Amino acid sequence: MSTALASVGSAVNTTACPFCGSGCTLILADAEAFPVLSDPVTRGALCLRGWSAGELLDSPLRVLSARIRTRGSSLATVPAETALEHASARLAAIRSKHGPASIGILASARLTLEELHLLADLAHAIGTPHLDALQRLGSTPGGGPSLGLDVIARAARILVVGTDLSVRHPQAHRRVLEALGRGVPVRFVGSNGGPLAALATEWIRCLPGGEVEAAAQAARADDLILWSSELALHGQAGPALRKLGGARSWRLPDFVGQLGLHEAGIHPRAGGFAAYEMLQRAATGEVKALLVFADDPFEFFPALAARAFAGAEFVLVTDAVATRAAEAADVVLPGSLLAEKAGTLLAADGRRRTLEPARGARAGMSEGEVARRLAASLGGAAGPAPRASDLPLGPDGPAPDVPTADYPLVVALDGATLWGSHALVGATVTARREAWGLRTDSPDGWVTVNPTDAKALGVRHGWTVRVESDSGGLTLAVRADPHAAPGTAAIPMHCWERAGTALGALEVDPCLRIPVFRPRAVRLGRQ
Amino acid sequence: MSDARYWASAAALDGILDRLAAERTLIGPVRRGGDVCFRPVARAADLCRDYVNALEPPKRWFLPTPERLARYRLPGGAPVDGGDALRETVFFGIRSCDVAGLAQLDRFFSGETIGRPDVADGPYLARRKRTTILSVVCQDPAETCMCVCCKGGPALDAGFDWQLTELSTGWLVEVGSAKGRELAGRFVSSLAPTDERMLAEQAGRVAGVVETFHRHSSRRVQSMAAGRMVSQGRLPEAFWAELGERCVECGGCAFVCPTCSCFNVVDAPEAGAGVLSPAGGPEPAVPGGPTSPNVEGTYDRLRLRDNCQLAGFVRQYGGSYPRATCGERCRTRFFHKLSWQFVARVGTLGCTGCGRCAQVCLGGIGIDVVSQRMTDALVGAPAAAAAAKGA
Repeated sequence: MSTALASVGSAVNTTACPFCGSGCTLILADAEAFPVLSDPVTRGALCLRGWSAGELLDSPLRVLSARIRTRGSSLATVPAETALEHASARLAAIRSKHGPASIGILASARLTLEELHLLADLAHAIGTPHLDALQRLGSTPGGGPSLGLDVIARAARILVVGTDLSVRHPQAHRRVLEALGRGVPVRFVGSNGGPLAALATEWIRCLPGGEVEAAAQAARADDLILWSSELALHGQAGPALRKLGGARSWRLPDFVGQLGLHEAGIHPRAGGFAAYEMLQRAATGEVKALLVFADDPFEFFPALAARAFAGAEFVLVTDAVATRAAEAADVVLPGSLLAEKAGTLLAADGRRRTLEPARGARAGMSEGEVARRLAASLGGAAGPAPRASDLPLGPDGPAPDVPTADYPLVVALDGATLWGSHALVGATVTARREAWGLRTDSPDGWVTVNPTDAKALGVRHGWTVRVESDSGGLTLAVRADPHAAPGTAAIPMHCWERAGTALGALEVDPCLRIPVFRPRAVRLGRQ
Repeated sequence: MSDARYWASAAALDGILDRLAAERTLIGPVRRGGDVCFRPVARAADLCRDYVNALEPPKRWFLPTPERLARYRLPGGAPVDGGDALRETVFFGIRSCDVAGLAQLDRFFSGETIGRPDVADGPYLARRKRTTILSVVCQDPAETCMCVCCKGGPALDAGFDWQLTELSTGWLVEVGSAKGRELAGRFVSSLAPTDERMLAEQAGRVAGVVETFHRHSSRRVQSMAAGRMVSQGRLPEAFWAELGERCVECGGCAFVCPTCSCFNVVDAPEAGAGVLSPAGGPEPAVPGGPTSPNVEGTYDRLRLRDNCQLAGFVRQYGGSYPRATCGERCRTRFFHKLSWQFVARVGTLGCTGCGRCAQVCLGGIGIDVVSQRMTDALVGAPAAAAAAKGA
């Protein structure tokens, strides 16, 4: 809580913005965030998430004490030591009875490199091969080097493929707009490009799932190609890695610690389950214990996460903020925010960046400390985890649908609109409000179509429609948005599981072993 | 207009600041890496002297975010005492553009702007009352500075307690308020009378800044032409729609603007209350009472900085958006910055030319760019440029 003119602090504390992969540097003035003007990445500008980052520090949703689920099924506050001992004892018992492979660990791109290494050490100490993160989809090797933002300033031509940079990577978006202002040709390839599609020199429209092919055909030798994990969301990881990789191609990271996931070897070991598979196996009882660090699988997969948490004998959640995962856990341990940590982040350009705590840890613990303590308790003298070899890429994922006479639109996920799905956004006030309004307006979700398609259908913005594929359907509110190409539709990320299941679009891409939303041919019907 | 002028040597001014730091909180510019911030300092020697301005506007000291307006306990709603007593504070080094901004905020939060002193904002005014402003005239403006266009500097006639101008031989001290006179009275032994030479030097230095701006800066707040266009509603929808595409709705322009006063109020469980449900997070407050869930506990009513560019800012309780698109919200923002109607109501432009919005804008649409485009729309510069290119 800011106490300006009451007891003001004299320090000028800087930290890293905890949200997207841009890696902006913040000045924390009490609990108020400002961008650093002299930082070459930040250059004095932040997106709304960054401006709201200071609100996290004293959020009512901060988890500041440990909890244990009691027999009566409520969570009771206990000392952190008690919770750690309890968790350690439960994990030891489960490992003893079912073997080390009965325990799975979900890491997160919200952690420092050191903490991610500690999680790898914890998996090694337990002896489980099941180690992964739901945000791994953008952190696999290949797909071009980690270029810096300056490469955009030097580019003679730019090709942005299937990603709304204004949300996914605002600092790259800024450089692209600056390039446009200098007369650099900027082309956008995709079906729903947000503002950049409208401002670009050329918008090369394609159907969802066709971005890689369209980009490969459009690319010239001197194009700088910018892309992000939205392609992987739609099962295009394999084609993208093959066709868009190269020295002039930059796959922009989506989360602040995403490059660290690969560096620290956060992916399944031989015989291990990937993150989504871990949840599936917990739901069936094969995985008996889940350790979740700074993530909320309920956000995108609420039904599967609920089954997984119910199916597992024991779930430990360590996080700095309240989530539905924490609500459903057996033990909750408080984590820390990046602003409270010392450590290293891998910046978007691949450089190592050292963090100093801008403020003392409110909970007195961090996710890394929890991992270290558990590893010491469960692993004895196991020592550090050996360097993991890269996760081999599997075959390409499912092919996207093409439209038919019966199903004339192709629907995909809108990976940008609801960044409010991020657990940290939910713990702010200002950024949360933007997402809260959208969700309150259409609590059951929505489908975005081009206004011409809405008009042809005879529906107006806000009306409800039935979205049907050859596998099933669901009812959603319709939003008419010129940023959606005609013949395409988009569903927000928080409807991924529900819409994906109803439309037969939720599948696992064998290339990266991640859940994807396969673009499906659908028809919309007035309700 | 300043009612008294003095001269102080550099050592004398440092002595005054040292004494003020000992008895009050002294806040001034300090350097951290390549950035300058205003922070409390223990002595004058800790102050940074070669700076232009800080990106943090001084309003953050008077409208901190989040700010606890009240604390109460449910059920019952009994108020809970809290908060620390405000300390007397001296600000050294605030630039004229920010002094002009504070003057606008003073009029707004005192209710003067709308002729309603009964709705004066207590917390803001309490902080201002305990504050003494020792502004420093800028002599080396940044690339983004545009105060000359907005009567926001480089020197002012009013709004400060002391206005300081660094001269070749020391400092010119201009007194601008009763508080300033009282301060001058206290430190009379450190101050000396001015002479014509000093006043001429100050005038020359200020004129030099203005001349340098006109000669070398490419940035302008085109208040006349732009004001005409926005006041008369002569800009087409496409103009605002294109701005809406460029705006990424970060909120930064208002967060750093020295004149923007918009804020949000939410009721939330007290920090660290142990809420484990994401549904228990902060929600917009219903005037006069707490929002659901009405759970037993201690709650805070918080005020946070806000921005009219954000969709959530304009969203009505029933779910409607009076300004549904970002372009429409851009129109409102720039109307409040440049329109004749706003000037008629408030007395000045809604911009003091600090240039911060140009620095923080991810979309590259600071007020210099937007007002230039408005001017182009009036005089047809793009068409003329295109014709010239064709020729």
